[in-house]
Amino acid sequence: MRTILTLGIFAILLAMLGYLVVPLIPRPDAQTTAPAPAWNPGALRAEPSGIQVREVDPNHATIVFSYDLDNQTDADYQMAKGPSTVIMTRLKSDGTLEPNDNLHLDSSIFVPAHNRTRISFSVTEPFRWPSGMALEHMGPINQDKYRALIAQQVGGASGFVLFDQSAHYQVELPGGWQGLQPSTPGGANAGGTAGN
Amino acid sequence: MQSGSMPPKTERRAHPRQKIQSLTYVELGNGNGGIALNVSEGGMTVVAAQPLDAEGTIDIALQLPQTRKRLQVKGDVRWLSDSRKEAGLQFVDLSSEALADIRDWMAREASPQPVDEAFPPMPTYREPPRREPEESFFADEEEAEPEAEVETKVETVEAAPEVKDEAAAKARDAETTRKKLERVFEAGHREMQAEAASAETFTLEPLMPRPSAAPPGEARAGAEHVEAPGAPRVNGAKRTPFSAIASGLPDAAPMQSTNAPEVNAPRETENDRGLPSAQSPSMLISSPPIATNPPHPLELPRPIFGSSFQTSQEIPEETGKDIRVHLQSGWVLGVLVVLLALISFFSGMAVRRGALNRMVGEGDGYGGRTGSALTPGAAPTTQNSAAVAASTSSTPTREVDIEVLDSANRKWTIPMSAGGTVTAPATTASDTAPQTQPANDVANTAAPANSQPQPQTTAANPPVAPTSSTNNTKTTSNTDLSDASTTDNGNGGLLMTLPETPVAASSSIAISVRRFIPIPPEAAARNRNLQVGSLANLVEPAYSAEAVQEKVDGTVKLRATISADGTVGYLDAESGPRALLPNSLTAVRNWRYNPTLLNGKPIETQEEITIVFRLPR
Repeated sequence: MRTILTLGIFAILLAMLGYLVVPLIPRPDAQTTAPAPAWNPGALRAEPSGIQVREVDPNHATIVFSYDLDNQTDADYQMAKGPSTVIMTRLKSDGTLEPNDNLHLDSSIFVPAHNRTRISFSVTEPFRWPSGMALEHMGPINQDKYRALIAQQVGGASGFVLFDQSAHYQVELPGGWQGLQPSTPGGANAGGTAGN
Repeated sequence: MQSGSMPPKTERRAHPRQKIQSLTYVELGNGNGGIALNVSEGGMTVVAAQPLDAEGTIDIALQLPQTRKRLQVKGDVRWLSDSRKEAGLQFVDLSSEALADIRDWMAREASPQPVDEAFPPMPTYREPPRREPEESFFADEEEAEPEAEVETKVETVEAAPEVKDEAAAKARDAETTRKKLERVFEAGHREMQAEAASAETFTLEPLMPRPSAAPPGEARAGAEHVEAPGAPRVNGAKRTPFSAIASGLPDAAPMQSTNAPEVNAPRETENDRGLPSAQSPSMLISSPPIATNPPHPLELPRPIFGSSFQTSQEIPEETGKDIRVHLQSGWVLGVLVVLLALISFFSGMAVRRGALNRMVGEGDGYGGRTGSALTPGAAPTTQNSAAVAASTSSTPTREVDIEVLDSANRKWTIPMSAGGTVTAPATTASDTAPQTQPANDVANTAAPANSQPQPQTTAANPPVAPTSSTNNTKTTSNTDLSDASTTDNGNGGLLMTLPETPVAASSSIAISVRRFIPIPPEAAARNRNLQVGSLANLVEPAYSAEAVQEKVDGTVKLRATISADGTVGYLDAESGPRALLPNSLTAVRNWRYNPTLLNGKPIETQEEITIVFRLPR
């Protein structure tokens, strides 16, 4: 009986040891040994706020995608620009992610807990900037030129996905371009031709 | 070989004797002990460890086999062997109770024990045949047994010369056996001391094989419980373990061997099982039976962990079972402990990985705060990309507008879908808001040097050379600039807007243009000469058949940039029916202007073209 009690106490102590001490063991490098934890898509919610086309020079334009990030957690969130942040394009057809190395965060992100912050990332593309803009004119052909510029970038995508590899956050950035379509091929061509 | 002379086979016993099958340890006085060979109601034959005195009364004490009773009687030595270690004792003053116990004992010894079916006999080891039979000892012994005589003469047997070496080796074996027996007796002695109520201390003398009774080979054979093939038999009775033991004892004289083939059978089985003979005496001598069920000699506790456990064979059978139960319980507990250790280890790992928290739905990634959506380190719910995409696509997303920002920080907002309303251009906060003045106020305007908006002054419709009231700059032109207006374009320059002028008209189409002449800052700061180039080649757009068929009419507004050489550089439609745009753009693209000169240099101008389409009647 005493042996049984001794073994029982030993087993309980062993269980307590495993429960309390094992979690304190230093965690090995997740990239080498442990599988990476799953991504957290619910901590940050994003909503599109706008798309801007900026004239860099007469032959280049920068498309800026802006989103409002809503931090739904109890803690502040910070995402630094760098290789740990990856922006990918989610294809409209089947939701597959597609790398897009041209997209870059414009600045580091800081979203206080339960607050909303506007972020933006941009891509620069070759674009023949209409000289008529100096006349404060924006006709249908010009409009289609800008729409075509954006469609060239995000035409087949339903949105973007922002991955923060350090915090393992996955931020879905829905596209706000559901109705994106050139007005008429003739108009677009006319504008394009005119611009050339 | 010949055995020694035997005592006369005369029956001198008053009571029939019963050979003792089970080895029974007998205390003989103070400090001496031995083994009972046979017993009768009047006495018993014993083999003592130490020589006995020929005279006197000896206190005899023994634990009756298969019972818990202890028999204590007195006995006189009636005969002694030459070694004085084997003796016949006659009971003295035997009480009726002791007599009854002795009778019971004899009855139990006389009843054969069944062979344990659970222990089939093991193959018997047999030595290779010897060159000459060696029979002296057993022959003597078995011849003497029927009579159970008082004394057995010890015969000295000389070994054959050709087996001397072998005999020497066997003598060493016999010495080893002797030492084993010595240890056995010592263990039995200690056991008896511990258990006996009247503990009497005695010392066992080291037992020596009987060299005179048998050659060393025989002694070895007996010690090993190996039946010598050449050993003679009496009435078919085989050599028993007891006789084998006795063969290692001095002057052993087993009795009643002829009457005990059945009794010996179990012994033979036990012998064939290969149990070491040196341990059998220990087992039986030092183990007073405690169990209520009489243990059979073959039903000894089986060794569990090999020979090391055989030293504990004095434990009764039930106790052995208890040991096995305890050991089995120990194994079970050990397995349980290992399982608990594994469970605890993996529990710890699971806690570290957050698996347990995920299992209970807390979603804590690394043991941090709980709440999947409320904690930065919260482990996410398991969603694959498709699920996330589906959830994202199912969420209604607000459609955004496209904001166009040119290098002059002027901003346009166009809808994402075609056909929407284009907001008016506006400068960003960093820009200076353009100020438009009436046409009659801006015929000639001097731009401020610091590009800040300044009030604009106009000349009073002079055909040429209007002057500025602010800086006295003026513009001379070949065109009437009285209706022209000048605005600050925000970069220190001026934008001169000429009034709209009709250039063509027909039954279905009317064309008018408004020209915009940008004046760079360097030219705006001083007097300037502007020669506005006139339209040299006008191409009227045709009313397309499609538009006529669809009865489409309306006004088309185009924006064009007239290059310095007078060609149409940039052309775009601002508004108008889509069916009318292609022909309008094609026609205007073919227009040609005379160059517009500012201070003698050709410059680029802008033009707003309005084409009014009316369905032909």
